[in-house]
Amino acid sequence: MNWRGWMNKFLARSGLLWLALCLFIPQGWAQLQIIGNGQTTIKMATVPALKTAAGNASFGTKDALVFRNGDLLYGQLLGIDAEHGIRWSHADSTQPIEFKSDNVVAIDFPAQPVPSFPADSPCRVRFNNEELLDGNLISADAQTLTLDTWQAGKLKLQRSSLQSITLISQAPAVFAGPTGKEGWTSGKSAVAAAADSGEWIYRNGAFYAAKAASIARDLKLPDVAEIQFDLAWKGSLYVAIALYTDSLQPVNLVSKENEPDFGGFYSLQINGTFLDLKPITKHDPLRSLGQLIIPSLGEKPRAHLDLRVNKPKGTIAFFINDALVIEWKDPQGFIGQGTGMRFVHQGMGAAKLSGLRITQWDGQMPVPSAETNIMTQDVAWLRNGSHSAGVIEGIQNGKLIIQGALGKSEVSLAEIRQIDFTAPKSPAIASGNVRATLTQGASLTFQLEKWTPEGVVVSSPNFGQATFKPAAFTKLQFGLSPAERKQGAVKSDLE
Amino acid sequence: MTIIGARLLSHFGVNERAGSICSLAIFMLKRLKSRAPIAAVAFLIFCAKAAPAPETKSDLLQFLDGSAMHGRLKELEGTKGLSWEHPEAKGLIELTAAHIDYIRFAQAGSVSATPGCHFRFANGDDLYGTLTSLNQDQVGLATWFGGEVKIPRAALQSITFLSKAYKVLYEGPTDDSGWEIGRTSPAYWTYRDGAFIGTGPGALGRDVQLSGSSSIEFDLAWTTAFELLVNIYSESYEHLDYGSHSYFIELTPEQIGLQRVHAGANPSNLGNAAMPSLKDKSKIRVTIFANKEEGTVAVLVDGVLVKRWKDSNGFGGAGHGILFYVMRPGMAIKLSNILVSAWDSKFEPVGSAGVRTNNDAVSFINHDRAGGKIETLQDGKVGLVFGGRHLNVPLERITQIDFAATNAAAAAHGPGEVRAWFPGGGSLSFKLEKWDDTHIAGQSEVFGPLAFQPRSIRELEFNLDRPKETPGRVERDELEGLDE
Repeated sequence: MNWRGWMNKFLARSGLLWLALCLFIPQGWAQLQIIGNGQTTIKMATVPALKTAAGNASFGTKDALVFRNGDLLYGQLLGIDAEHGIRWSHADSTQPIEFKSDNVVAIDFPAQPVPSFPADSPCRVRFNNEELLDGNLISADAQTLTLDTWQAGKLKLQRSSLQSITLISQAPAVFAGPTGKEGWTSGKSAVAAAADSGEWIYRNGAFYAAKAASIARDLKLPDVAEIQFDLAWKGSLYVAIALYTDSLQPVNLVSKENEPDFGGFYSLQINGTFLDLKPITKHDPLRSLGQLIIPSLGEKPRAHLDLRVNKPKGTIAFFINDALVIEWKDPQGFIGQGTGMRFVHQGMGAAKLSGLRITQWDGQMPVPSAETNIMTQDVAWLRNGSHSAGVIEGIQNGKLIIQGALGKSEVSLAEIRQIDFTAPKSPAIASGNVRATLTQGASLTFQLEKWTPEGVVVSSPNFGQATFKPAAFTKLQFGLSPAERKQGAVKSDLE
Repeated sequence: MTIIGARLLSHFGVNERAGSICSLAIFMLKRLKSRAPIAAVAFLIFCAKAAPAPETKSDLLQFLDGSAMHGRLKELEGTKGLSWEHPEAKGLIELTAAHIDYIRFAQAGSVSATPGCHFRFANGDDLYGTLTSLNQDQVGLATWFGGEVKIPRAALQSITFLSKAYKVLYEGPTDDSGWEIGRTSPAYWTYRDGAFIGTGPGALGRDVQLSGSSSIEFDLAWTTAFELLVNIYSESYEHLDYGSHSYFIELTPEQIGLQRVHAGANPSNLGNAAMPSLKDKSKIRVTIFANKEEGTVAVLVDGVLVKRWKDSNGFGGAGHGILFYVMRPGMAIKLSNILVSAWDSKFEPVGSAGVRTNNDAVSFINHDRAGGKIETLQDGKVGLVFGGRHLNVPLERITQIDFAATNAAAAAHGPGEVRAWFPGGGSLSFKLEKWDDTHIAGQSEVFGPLAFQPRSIRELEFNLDRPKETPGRVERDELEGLDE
């Protein structure tokens, strides 16, 4: 599998199925209590902040220059340097325009195709300041870690600046996308007024909806599946996601008995911070497998969602931002009769769905880190659910060498899901004047020294000086305050 | 959702009074043809980014693709292009006008004039002036910029005769001074670039010295939908007040409703009317005519009458202000080109006839309307032929003349043609020859050579025949911020 393939798996995980669950749930659910029936296990009440920034900043085919006063110009970035400032090409200007950079806040770039980049150990590195970088894990010693990237070649990362490394499974995906609307079926909301109805639109690897809309597809969901996707929203998040449905048209739950025939499915409803899962059949009364409030959905307008479904066991586990929120169990057995999903925007706010990735799941639930009580050591989390703790001495030849309580051992990187380094040895770094969002959703803050069409020269305490390909970036943000620099990528998630 | 039940009982004091802004006497329907819906893009971008307003008043250059920049127009010459001064650019920016939507000038002044008529032209222009003559081929009119001229009758679509008591009470906004913004946190109304942006449930109001009959007009642009309450003859300017005497007009994509508010009683619902189709629209011009003598409130959308309500209890507006209130969160709207004027009740404006016919038509002050042939204007009387009968009707009895449709309406705008929008109302398309700090020169097919002072133009619209509404661009702004 090439780089793009595995990276799509990990990053673009946005599997969005918005079920035409046409129950309009008004605002004001904050008073609802968590309802746990006997079959529902609530593992975690709070969810950590989303730390991945996915997507593409630019909508068109042109670069966009954004000023502090709101001015916006489309065109093409020709270069950035100390002498000329920002050199900009505009379609209506015969000469390049030179702008001072003082009041430029951002430059957006259209997404570029990600080149093929074979990797033996694809991974995502998370720095102490929450910044992210994707690459192929080559080696490590006590001081540095070598990461090969398509954007900047081999980078030597300071180990003291690392928080964790997530190794990306190279198992084939049942579905990864969206890559377009082909194969998807748009449906009309059953409850929204005609003037308030719309369609999901596709752009740059994501579906967008600003009005009530439904889109569905038979995704050939496996019986034991992991379904991941990213959601971002403006205003309120009101979506319904149908799981294991055989119908590509939304179903009005209020009058489902009068709807065209459909097989049983599960309706995952997200209404603001309120979450519910309902088994839906045409003739049975509506029931809930458990509802809960997710405060973090009200704190940030984006989240990474992960559903792990075990049809034989009748369970659906729900993770937000990599943390287990709830594991539902249907006491009547699994009622989903299809292998499709439907994503229904309920008409409130604007929403973006991206990174939908469906894989066969091994049925193993991760071991929550709180249960390990070993945060004072480096930890390698294995795909089989176990872990190895100690001092990571290095990575060589595709193996991690760790000195544990029982001695030194070697673990193949292919067996590792994640490596957590001990508590940060260095504080979050005020590392530069520009924050960059990379094509595949990673983010970095650095000192921008020079931008030319041939390369972008940057420097960072995390990896020293490097030259990136211009196509690596979807967004540059300028004029970061000292506080913003310290916050690093966390700030970008809040925007 | 109706406005009933949204009753708020708090009271605030009366605030500063609005001054009459413009000395150019104008009358309603300033911009029947909604211009450049993509203008909404700028404000949507603004909403998404919450960008601060420019520190000093500067011109705004808006491109057809929705992008925009502030600065100052230094020079513009024919088809060669323009020089633009941008505060962040190291030199003047030289641009062709090929993709410019419009330039809005911050320092536009007012024009003194006392027109008796509002002329609407077949090509979409409209001007205020005085009718001096009329025959079967030509119409004589005096304009504030060019003295008396004779123009082909075929170029005219209609003439509205203005009330002698006509007075502009407010025109703007050009800034937020004089406006009251509801004390919500965050504040849901913001001024920027000649418009107010409303993003949530909150009030925006001002005292505009309403007393007798009046017109309240504004451009309304929206993102996904809108629920806007317009309180006219309001006594409070920063909150909805159900304890006074006023009218509430509720605007949604589906309908327009009118309520009368009485102190000490429940609001009276005077009825609803269906909103005209907004398909493919993101902007409309709303006009409200309140006729105090006749006890009526009429609402027009894009110049076409939607409904005229009659209050059987007589006119119930006692306050002097107007107030706008966004009813629901998450619905960004933009209000611009607000024009409030007072007039004699006998001269209630008619609005557009909608579809033009092959006959001339005359509207009378008693609201009658007759079709036939208009022949001459002589000694203050209009010679008409209706049903084979010749009549001479005093101008004082006529509120509007609509001319029969001609082929002139289909004429396309020539290359390099621009449309100037004037302070106080009116617009004129012409071929722009030169613009600099001191004067503007151009050539009009109807009026011949033209000359203006730069301050006499509020906005200059380019590329008149190019499409200006691209859904993708609007979506960009609706979805701006979802991408990192």
